[in-house]
Amino acid sequence: MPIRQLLSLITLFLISISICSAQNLTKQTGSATKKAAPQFDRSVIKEAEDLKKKLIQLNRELYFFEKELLYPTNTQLAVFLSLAPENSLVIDSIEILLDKKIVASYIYKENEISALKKGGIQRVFLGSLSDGAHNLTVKFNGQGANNRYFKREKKIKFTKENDAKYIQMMVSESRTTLEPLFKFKQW
Amino acid sequence: MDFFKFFSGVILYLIVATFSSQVLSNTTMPNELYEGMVEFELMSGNNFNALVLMDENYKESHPIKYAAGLKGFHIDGDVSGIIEKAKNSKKDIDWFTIGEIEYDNNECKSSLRAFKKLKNNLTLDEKQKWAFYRANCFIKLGSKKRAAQVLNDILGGVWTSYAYFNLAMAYAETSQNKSTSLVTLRIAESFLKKETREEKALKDRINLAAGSLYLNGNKPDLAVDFFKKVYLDSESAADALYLNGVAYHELGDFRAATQAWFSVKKYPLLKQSVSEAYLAIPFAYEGSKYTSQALEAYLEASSVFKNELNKITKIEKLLEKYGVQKVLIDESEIAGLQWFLAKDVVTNTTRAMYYNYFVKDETIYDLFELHAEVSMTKDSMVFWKTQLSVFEKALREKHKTFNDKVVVFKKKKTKTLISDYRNRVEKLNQHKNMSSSLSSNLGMTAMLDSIATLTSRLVALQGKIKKGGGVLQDQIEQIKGLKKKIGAAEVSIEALLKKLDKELTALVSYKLLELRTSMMTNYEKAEQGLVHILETIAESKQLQKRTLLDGRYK
Repeated sequence: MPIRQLLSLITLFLISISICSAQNLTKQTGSATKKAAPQFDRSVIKEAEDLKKKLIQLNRELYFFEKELLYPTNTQLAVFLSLAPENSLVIDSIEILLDKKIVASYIYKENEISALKKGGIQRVFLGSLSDGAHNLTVKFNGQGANNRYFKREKKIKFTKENDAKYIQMMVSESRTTLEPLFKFKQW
Repeated sequence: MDFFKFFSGVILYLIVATFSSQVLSNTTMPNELYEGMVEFELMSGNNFNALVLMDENYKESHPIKYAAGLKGFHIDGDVSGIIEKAKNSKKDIDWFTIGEIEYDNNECKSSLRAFKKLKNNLTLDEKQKWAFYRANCFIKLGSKKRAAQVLNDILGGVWTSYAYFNLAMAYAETSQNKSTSLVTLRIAESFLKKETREEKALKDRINLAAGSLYLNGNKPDLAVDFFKKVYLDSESAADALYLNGVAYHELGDFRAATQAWFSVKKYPLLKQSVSEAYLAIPFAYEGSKYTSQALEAYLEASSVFKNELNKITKIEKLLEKYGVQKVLIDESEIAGLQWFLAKDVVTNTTRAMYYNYFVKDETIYDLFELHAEVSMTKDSMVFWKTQLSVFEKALREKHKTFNDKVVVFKKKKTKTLISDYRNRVEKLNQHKNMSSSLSSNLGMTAMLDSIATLTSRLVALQGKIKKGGGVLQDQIEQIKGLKKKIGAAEVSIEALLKKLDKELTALVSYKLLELRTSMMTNYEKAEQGLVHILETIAESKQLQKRTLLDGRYK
């Protein structure tokens, strides 16, 4: 690039001219380039890795202690969401109502939708529930084929017994109408 | 029904009070759901959550996913060993993930070997990534021909576009003839169909690269078309605008060149192209014989560089005194730091600009990332500490009142009530007028079932009451133990954060020193330009004086 070359030439020509203020600043800065780059202590990485492993284990202990305490198996209800692979559905958000009360809501990020489409299952709600008959309502908002927005509400009646209850919501797309399909599976 | 209310109330109280002694583990959950949950966290990029959820069985049966989680959370030490062990096992191996991990480890040969094992049952998205990784590996290994062959199957998508862009850059680096590189860039651009942020950023990089190639090939007229396509809000905008000015300058259009360079001034001075633009403006004015404008522009450049040098001095002092964590990472309220956080001419803070400048260095970037991860675990400890305090308080309260509440519950009375209730239901069921439809309407079967449930619950409840106080005490002890562990972890975290801060401060200070040197050079250039202009003016005045003395114009 000629302009760069010209600029360098002018700089070289002018570099011989002494400038007081510049000299002062140079004195202030010292010889920056002469100073050797600091050597990074690699042992910190090893130490961090060991600590991270310990913290994962501790978090695991704490996580299960909390679950045991707050959601014992005989009162536990967990609601899961899964999405069929290879479809055009993009869920924007969901709302979960248990016996007409909102208990959970979630707004999805792009990577989470991608994870769901690759076979990931999200636990959207975990709570404690008394035995007996209950209603679960799930509201879905999202985009389907041809970027068409949809809003659907699906309900299920279920009976909670003296054991943990797992309900999986499975969302897929109709091959013929490309409409979203919703199915509940009780475990 | 009063009886039911009373009984279910007692049951619920005792359930919550005694808490089930059964330990909740992943085994209580159906395996399909548990594995899906781990995979959701893993594929969403929440590696920490995924690792927390993984139990020993999962790690054993899914070693590659475990390795991917470790790699994602930057615990690289064990990854290679796990992968090698998995390769030697006769289980189904996730070769795609192995290929990705080896690629991240810069082990291109191993990565290519892993990808080679994949059969054609990949999804379109996976195929695009597969092609990207393989093409990049071949480029790194120096075989652009093989890279081009990998990309021959036109797959489309942003991954393929990235692969073609990288191939074009490899061609540009090694070949004198830039046409192959330009054609490759055109292919890269043709795959970008959507207008996502990522695709727009890549499109800008492609246009910037194409423009630069044309400019280097002495075709500034063609270069201008590409530079103009770069979005003004993009990361490449300052470079594109500066080079656009250079292209115009080479075409002899000084006015357009200075206009382009003027527009670069709104970007952070830390970018090389912005500093260059400040110096190029007076140079162009000088070339067009606009001496007074050149003088003004040199003055402006000199003052801007001097200001930046002063800023650098202040940051150096802050770093020396407080370290990187307080100056660049934490929400600081350090006196004298307000200017560092204040809005700049660009829509960003000075701190963000400098942060962006520092993280361009790979080691600094990695350490900042590590710092963020360790800080995240520190936050998790704070969260758990609060949770445990709440639990402990509640458990102590329950423990205190447990015996009183148990006394209220009278086993014998409840047993009699259940028995009485059963007799009444059975009597009703055997009534002469009881038909099957009436029995169904009254829900007789459900009533009998619920009596059976109540009886079994009563038996279970007796066991829980016996153990209740002990369980509560155990849980309080468990909390004490966990709190101790959290305390020890917090000490280790703090020590590590201090070490990281020290390392980062040294690296960032050195980077700042480099920046100071470059800014100093710019400042000197501006000052020297200024002197040069002043000399030119002085010479022209002398000439004018002499001319007037000649008396020719009198």
